[in-house]
Amino acid sequence: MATAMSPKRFKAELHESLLELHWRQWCALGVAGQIEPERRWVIDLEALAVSTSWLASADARLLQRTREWLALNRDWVSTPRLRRIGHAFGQTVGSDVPALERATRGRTRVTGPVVTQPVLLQLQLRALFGMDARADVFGYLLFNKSGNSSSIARALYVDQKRVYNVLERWSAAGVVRRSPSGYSLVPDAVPAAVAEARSRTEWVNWTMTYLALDRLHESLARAATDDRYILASLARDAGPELETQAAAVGVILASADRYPGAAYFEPLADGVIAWLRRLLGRRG
Amino acid sequence: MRFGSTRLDELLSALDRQLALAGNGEFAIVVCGGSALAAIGLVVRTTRDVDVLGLARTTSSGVVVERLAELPEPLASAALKVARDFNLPADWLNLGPAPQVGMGLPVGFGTRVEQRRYGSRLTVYTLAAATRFTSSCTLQSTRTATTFRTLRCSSRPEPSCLRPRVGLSRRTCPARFGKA
Repeated sequence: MATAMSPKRFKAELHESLLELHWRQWCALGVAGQIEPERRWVIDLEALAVSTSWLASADARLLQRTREWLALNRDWVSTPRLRRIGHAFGQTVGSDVPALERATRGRTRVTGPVVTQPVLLQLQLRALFGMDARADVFGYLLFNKSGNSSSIARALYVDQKRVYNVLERWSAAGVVRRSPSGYSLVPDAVPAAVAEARSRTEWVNWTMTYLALDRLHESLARAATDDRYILASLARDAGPELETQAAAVGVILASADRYPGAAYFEPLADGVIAWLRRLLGRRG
Repeated sequence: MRFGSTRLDELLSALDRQLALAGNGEFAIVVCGGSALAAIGLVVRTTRDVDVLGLARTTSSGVVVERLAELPEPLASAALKVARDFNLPADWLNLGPAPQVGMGLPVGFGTRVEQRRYGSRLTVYTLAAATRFTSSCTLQSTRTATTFRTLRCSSRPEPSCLRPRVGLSRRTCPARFGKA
């Protein structure tokens, strides 16, 4: 029989799983580490960078490697998107980028990304389209049936006007098809290499996922208590966003309304851990 | 939604913990009505809300009730969190009977209250359970008439013997508690 999740165990598991998720993705990008690189989910570089700096106090080594990587591979980074996502997380990350170079002096434990890896589809698309919103919009439409300019801009943290212009041009060029439900990719418009990468990976909105999980992690850590009621209450603050993002990968979190007071803690904790295990590719 | 004394303890304890989490001061409140009686275990019936008469200030001559126009912001915010967490109406903690403070409270009211702490941040004052009252007072609030039918006990009762018998309604306990 499974034992009830204690607040201490939940907080520890949330913390460790989040760090592991970050390490896996950085390792896939070329950071040296002892962890198995990400193989399943398409990595979102800017979301990963911002989330890593959000978790900076938790793992100084990870932050240092991240800075080295970003300084060495800054050409792959979309600075406007980094700023937008940083703003959503409550940081001004964009201004850090020039300063990152300083961190690269001396020995480095990072290399450039091997862009042919399927999980680095975002970078493949940037190689194809250039450092432009088009790469991210194309990536979104590869994994989502359809979308309009505002829903895509919201999901990707890119400028809505820019997305609209891209979609209109692609529509005129026959790359996307417009319907009442939005724009969708014309299958023939997908290059073979990209289609191959898509078939071997899955997409998750990492910005929203990290935002929800990082906020939960931070509010639980800041509260410095193991009081189940307070932890449940803090989780309710992030509840709707947690539920939406977990559902996107097939994990249904307990509905807060069904569990008053402290009773919400255990089902929520179980659900969040199941969600993290799904993201880490573990069973149970 | 209605709640009884056990749930009321849970709610007030949750309110205390929300105040502690926010770190925004300590509050002492005076409550009356059904919630006050439920809080001290005098009645088992349920109540819909917690009627706050005002803030309590302790003086050498007893507790003085300070009238409030609205709940202090930290208390109101904490109460809203508790409302959300327990699926309660937003005004579960309200100042319904507060206007009574301006009209005057019964003589000696401040000496007949019982203190109950719910943690480090919240103290709740209610009419004392074991006090022998010889008069009744009626508090007319803007929202509802809240009647304090004081307990007419022939001798000082033990709190433990009160529980099964005591009720404010003559219907539930006609022999012992007559018309006030």
